[in-house]
Amino acid sequence: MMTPTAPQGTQFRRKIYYINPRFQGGAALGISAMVVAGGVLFGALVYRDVGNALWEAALRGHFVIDTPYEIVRDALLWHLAGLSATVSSLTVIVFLFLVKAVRIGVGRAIEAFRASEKGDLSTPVEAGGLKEFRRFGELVDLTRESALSRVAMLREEAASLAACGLPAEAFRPRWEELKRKIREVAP
Amino acid sequence: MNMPPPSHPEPLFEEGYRLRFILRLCLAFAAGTAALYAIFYFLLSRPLTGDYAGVFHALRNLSVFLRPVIAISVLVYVLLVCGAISALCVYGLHKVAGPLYRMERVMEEIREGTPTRTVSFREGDQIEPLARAFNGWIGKLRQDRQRWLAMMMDAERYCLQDDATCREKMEEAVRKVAEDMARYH
Repeated sequence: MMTPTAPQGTQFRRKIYYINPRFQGGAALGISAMVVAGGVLFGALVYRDVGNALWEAALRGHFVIDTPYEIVRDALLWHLAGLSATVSSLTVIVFLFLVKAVRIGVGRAIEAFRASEKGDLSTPVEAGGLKEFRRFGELVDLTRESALSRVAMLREEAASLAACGLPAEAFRPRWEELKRKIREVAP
Repeated sequence: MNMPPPSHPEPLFEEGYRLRFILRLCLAFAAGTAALYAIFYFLLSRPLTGDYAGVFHALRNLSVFLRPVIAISVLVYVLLVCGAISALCVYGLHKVAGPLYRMERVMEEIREGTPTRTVSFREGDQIEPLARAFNGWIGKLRQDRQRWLAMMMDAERYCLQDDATCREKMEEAVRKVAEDMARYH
C-alpha cells in the first residue's frame, strides 16, 4: 500500500536500511540483556536439577535406563518451556514499552508541529522517554526556533520600514530587500 | 507554558507491524529453544550400557561434564538468539529509525534555508502522522509567506498612480505584514 505522504505514482523501493545505533542498537541490547539473563538462570537451574537427577539415577543404576535423556527429560523440558515463556514475555513487554516510548516522543513532536502551525514556535517539545527522542525533540525545537528568529527579524524589519519615514530612494531598496528575505521563509 | 499531552487520533504504528515484530521475536526464541533442546538431546541420548558399575560411572562422568556442557549450550543459545534479535531490530525498527533520520535531514535543510520538498516516507514506514504534522506546519508557513508577498505586491500596484498613494499603500502593507507576523511567538 502506498503511504499517504508519498507522491502519487511514485513507488519507493526499499534499498537502504538505515541503522541508528542509539535506537536499534539500544533495543537490541535491551532484549539481548534479557536473553543473557534468562540463559544464565536457565543454566543454573538446569545444572542444579539435572545434576541432582543424574546423581540420584546413578545411585539407582540397577534400574533399566536406556539413555541419560530419559532421566533428565522432565526437568529439561520444564526448564526449556520456562526459559522460552519467560524470555518471550519479557521481550514482548520491552517491545511494548519501546512502542510506548516512541509514541510519547513522536507524539510530543507532532503536538509541537501542530502548535507551530497555529503560530506557537517557542514552547519546547520536552519529549521524554528514550534519549533518541529527547535528541529528536531538541532538533525540532532548533528548527522551530530558527523559523521564529527568521520571522521575528522580518517582523522588526517590516515594522521599522513602516515607521521609518525614509525618502523614496532609500525606502525602495529596503522594500525590495524585505521581499527577498520573505521569499526565503520556508523555501 | 507546557505543551498539552499528546492527543493524536492517528495511530503511529500499523497494527500488523507490531504483531509481525512480536511474532518474529517469538519465532526467534522458539528457534533458539529448539536449538538448545537439540543440543541437550544429542548429548544426553547416548545409550547407557554395561552393568551397574558401568552405568554408575557413566552417569558420574556425565555429572562432572555437565557444567561445561550447559555453559556451552547456553552460550550457543544466547549467540543464536541475540544474533536473530539484532537482525530483527535492525531490519524491523528501521521503519521507525529511517523516517526519523529523513525528518532530521529535512529539518536541517529548513534551518540552513535550503529549498526543501515536503517529507514523504517510504512504503511500510511507520510514524507517518509525524510527516503529516511537519508538512502541515511548513505548508502553513509557505501560505503565510505567499500572503505577505501578495500584500506587498498588491501595494506595488498603486505605484502606477501617484507617488504619495504608492508610499502610503506600501507602508500600510508592511505594517499589515508585521502585524500578521506577530501571530508567531
